[in-house]
Parts: sequence; structure tokens; C-alpha cells
Amino acid sequence: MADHPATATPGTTLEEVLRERAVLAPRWIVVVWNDPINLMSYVTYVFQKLFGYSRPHAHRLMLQVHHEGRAVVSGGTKERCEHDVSRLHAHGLWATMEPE
Amino acid sequence: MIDGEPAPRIVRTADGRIVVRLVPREREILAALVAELAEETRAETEDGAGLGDEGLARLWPDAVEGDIVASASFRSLTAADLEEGRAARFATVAETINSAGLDEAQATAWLGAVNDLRLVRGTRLGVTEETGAHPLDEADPAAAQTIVFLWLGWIEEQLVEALAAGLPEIPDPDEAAR
Repeated sequence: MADHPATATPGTTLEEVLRERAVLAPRWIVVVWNDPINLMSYVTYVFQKLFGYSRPHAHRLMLQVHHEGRAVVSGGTKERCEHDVSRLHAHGLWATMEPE
Repeated sequence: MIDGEPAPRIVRTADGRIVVRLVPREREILAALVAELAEETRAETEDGAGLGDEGLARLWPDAVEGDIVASASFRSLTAADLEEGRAARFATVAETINSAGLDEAQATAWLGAVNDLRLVRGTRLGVTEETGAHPLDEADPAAAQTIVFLWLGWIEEQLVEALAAGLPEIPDPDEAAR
């Protein structure tokens, strides 16, 4: 991982430093792909359960996967996306990650 | 009026318990299917048996699209947890196969195991989104396997509905933004 020199000026809060670091880190996204086996209701349920999405939001993402073949379901640091992909795989969803 | 759908066999009751009303023969079949897959996945992990089987391969999707090296590296880091989770849910189904009711964790294990079964069996059958939409051709040698696959889907729908009813209500962000 790139080593960012400290640029904090006196008075910078920890929160501001962390926010800046989060912006500098490369962002990844998690993609779920359509498959002919997983039930639509199951995919919606998994999005709700794993990501805490509302039922309507999870349902919209599921429909996007179904109609468009794929949908971005989460994003963030590489580590965060690896975690999400492994959880989706544990639930039998066809998930991949890629740099944004 | 007659409702053509068979009565649900798996329902969440008012007290939050998940009641299973499968008949003994259905429980026997489910137990046998899960035991078979548990043995297949164990043999694949421990002895490399069944490597190259497309049904079992469906349980291990590539993590990085178009990058088999990164995907293999990802798998080496996550495989043990994935296998452990799978073996645990198969074991839970075996232990609770004759239960009249399941708690949240047990029902979740059932759902995961039934989904694993559908992924492996559906992949081997080459099912499409149209499978089950048309009457089965009885002359098709795969008809019996297709019936099993569709029956697993019927069980899974009920498990999803029962478990989804137990999720916390989350407000829709799009509604809130309006």
C-alpha cells in the first residue's frame, strides 16, 4: 500500500486525517452477477442481511442484477471488498471485485 | 375458491419460531441429499476427488473477474472459512432434520444448505431461468432430477420468506430522500 506522508497541520482532527486517507486509498467495488439458479427472493434477502439494506433497496439491486446482468452492491477499500466478496460467496452468490 | 399452491410447510409463527411441517419422506430425502453433498465437498477438499466437476466448482466462484491468479490467491485465503461454514450448516441440517421447529441459526443453516444443493444440482442439470416454467417432458432422463431441483426451490422460497420476516425493518433511503 502507498505510504502517504503526514500532511496534517496542527489543529487537524483525527477524523479529518482518516477522511483524507480514505480518499487517497484506491477504491474498489463489489459486483454481483446474474445466474440462472439463485432465487430472486434469496438474492434480495442476502443483500438485506449482509449489507443492512432496506428491503426496497435490496429488491432494486436484485432486479438490476436480473435485468442488466450485474450490479454494484458495495464499495470501499480493497480489504472491505474482499470481506464482502467472501461473505457473498459463502451465501452462494456469484460476486467479484474490481478497481473502480 | 381453491388456491392451487400447496400449503406452506415452513412458516414463521407469531412467537418468532420457524415451524417445519415437512412429512417424514421429505425429511429423509433432504437429509440424504445434504449428506451426499457433504461427502462430495469433504472428498473434494481433502482428497481432491471430483475436481473439475462443474457443480462443485459453482461453490467456488472467481473473486476477481478475468484474473485467475488474483482469484486463486483470494481463494487460498478464504477457502478454509468457506469450507468450515459449509460443513457446519450441513451438520446442523443433519442434527435438526426431524425437528418440528427451528431457531434462527438453524433455519439459516437449512437455507444455506438448500441453496448449496440447488447451486450444485442446478449447474449439473444446466438449468436456465425457464426451468420449471414449462411442463416437464417425462421422457427426459433428467426429469426426476429436475423435479428434485424444483422441490428444493419450493423449500428454499419458504425458508427465505420465514427468515426475511425476521430481519429488522430498515427505512428505504430513497424514500427518506424524497
